[in-house]
Amino acid sequence: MIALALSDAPSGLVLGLLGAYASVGVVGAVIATRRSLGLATALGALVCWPLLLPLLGTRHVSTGGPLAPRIAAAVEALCTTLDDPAATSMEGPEDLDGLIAALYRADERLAMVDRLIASVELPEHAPSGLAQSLSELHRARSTTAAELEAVLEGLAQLRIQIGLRSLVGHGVPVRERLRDLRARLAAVDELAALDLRNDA
Amino acid sequence: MTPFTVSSLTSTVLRSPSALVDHPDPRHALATFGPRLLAIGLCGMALFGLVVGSYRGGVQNLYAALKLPLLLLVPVVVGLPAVRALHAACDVEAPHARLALAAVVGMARTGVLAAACGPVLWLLYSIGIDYHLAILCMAGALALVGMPGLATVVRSLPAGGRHRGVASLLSLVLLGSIGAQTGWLLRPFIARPRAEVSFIRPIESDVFSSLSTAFASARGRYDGWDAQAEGFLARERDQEAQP
Amino acid sequence: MVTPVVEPPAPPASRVVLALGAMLLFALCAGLGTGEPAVAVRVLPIIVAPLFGAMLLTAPALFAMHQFLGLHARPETMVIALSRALVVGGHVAAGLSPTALFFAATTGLWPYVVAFGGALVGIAAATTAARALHQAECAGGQPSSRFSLLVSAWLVLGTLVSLRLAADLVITIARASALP
Repeated sequence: MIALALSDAPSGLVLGLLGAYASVGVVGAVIATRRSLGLATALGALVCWPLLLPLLGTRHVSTGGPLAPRIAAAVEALCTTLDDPAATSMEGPEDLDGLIAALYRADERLAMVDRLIASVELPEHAPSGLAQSLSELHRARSTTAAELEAVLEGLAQLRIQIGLRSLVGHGVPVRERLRDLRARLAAVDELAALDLRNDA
Repeated sequence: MTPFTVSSLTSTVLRSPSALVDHPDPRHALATFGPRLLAIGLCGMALFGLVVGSYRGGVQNLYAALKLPLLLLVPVVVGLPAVRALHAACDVEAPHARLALAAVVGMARTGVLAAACGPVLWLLYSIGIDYHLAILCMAGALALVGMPGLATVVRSLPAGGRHRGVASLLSLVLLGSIGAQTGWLLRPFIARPRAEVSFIRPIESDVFSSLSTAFASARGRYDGWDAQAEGFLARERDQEAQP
Repeated sequence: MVTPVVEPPAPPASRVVLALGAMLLFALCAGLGTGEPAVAVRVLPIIVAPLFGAMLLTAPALFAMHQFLGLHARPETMVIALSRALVVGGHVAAGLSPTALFFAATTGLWPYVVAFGGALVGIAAATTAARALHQAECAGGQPSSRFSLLVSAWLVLGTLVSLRLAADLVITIARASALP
């Protein structure tokens, strides 16, 4: 069809349809670039954006950390609860997108640390400094993972509170709960750093 | 082990495509592997196209290598929304990401298998088989390598639902029709030995009327064939060409 | 302990409107194959009018007979069931739109595309309506044979009405195509 368009003067309708397809492809490529999905995904979106729509239509794409599937499941469950018709009378919690992005960023950092730990080989008579640093890294990793688990549990509790609010009314502090989760996630970095300083 | 290199990805696509399709996070898998899978599938079909074009040789090699990836891509892009909608109507809710991932995995599988069939086809063409037999061999090879790709997509659909067999059958008919019409539009892949080589022929009627005419001819009924251009792609060009 | 049957939630009005829009989109994609704007405009309501029109015309009879027969489902849940049927029909129409556009662009088979697509949309909507009405009846109590008979009769009536509406539209389109 592209050859036909090149060999003969195409009609306005054909040009319009091809232009619409290309325009959506360009928009998709721009979105893919902005969401750091990679150059290959952006190029793929140019040509076959219908196949890559699931990536372009979602605001959050996990990067494959150890907790990514659970984060995705928890986020999907929370969004399903928020989208429930019975929940439409409530405004969505503020900064939910920020919380989800922070979760995925923390998960990315966990994945990076896991790769680092797997790649470091301690020789038999390793210097005590290297062994100690590795031990600190393990501890910080465990602390961060525990905090992420707690935030995921908090998301599940948030869903229950949304249900409770739909029955009881505005007395249930959904927004405050969300702010608490955000603060907890922000403290993950500080907590890990504090652990390292205390052990030093 | 998560496949990161092209060779390990190709191996996974052939040995256990479900390892990719059943990834716990389909969106992540699509983001990570989707572009490479697309590239693998389209390159595989391009290699197959080089072999197909070698029947005539010369520039037909290049033409067929450029057109055969489209033969794989267009039916999937056009038909996948219909497949999803038909199965959703039968209570088989396939998440969009999972179905798209299965589609690119299926395309990669078909492309690699098509490239693998290339040497066999080339051997047949090299002994100078008849033109019609060459076309049948190409069509047969495509049907053969298309089955595993299609099976990947069908197996990705969740279990359960009502009358899912009907939805699957309709999906097969739709994808087959779109594929056949795409092949008709993009012909010739194998140029006749004495015919002029062209990238694409003008749109003439459609594949269904061509097939029905061929069947009638095979039964001894020669009523002729109306090759009038159809569809808004062809019709408006004809109107512009008229004084 | 008997587990209560949970009625599925009503689809938002926006989804019903989107479903009707999807049916218009399918007809638009197929109608581009006519090659004439006047004819293409007349093709636009070819899916929406028979389906939605048949539902509008036959639903009052369904509700009235349902109440007359003393059956269990609440009228509100029956309306929800019909709206779910429209949503499913719209979903199928949306999924078939790229296919319709492809065949409209490359073949002259747009009448067959419209007929095939319209049949699929109608069948999907009808089976969803039957299933959803059954669920609504189960939520109110044990469905009886009278309910099954009522739904079957309503489906037959709805099909005949939609075919009649479609035939009127086809005649209009054919007359428009015959104009110089």
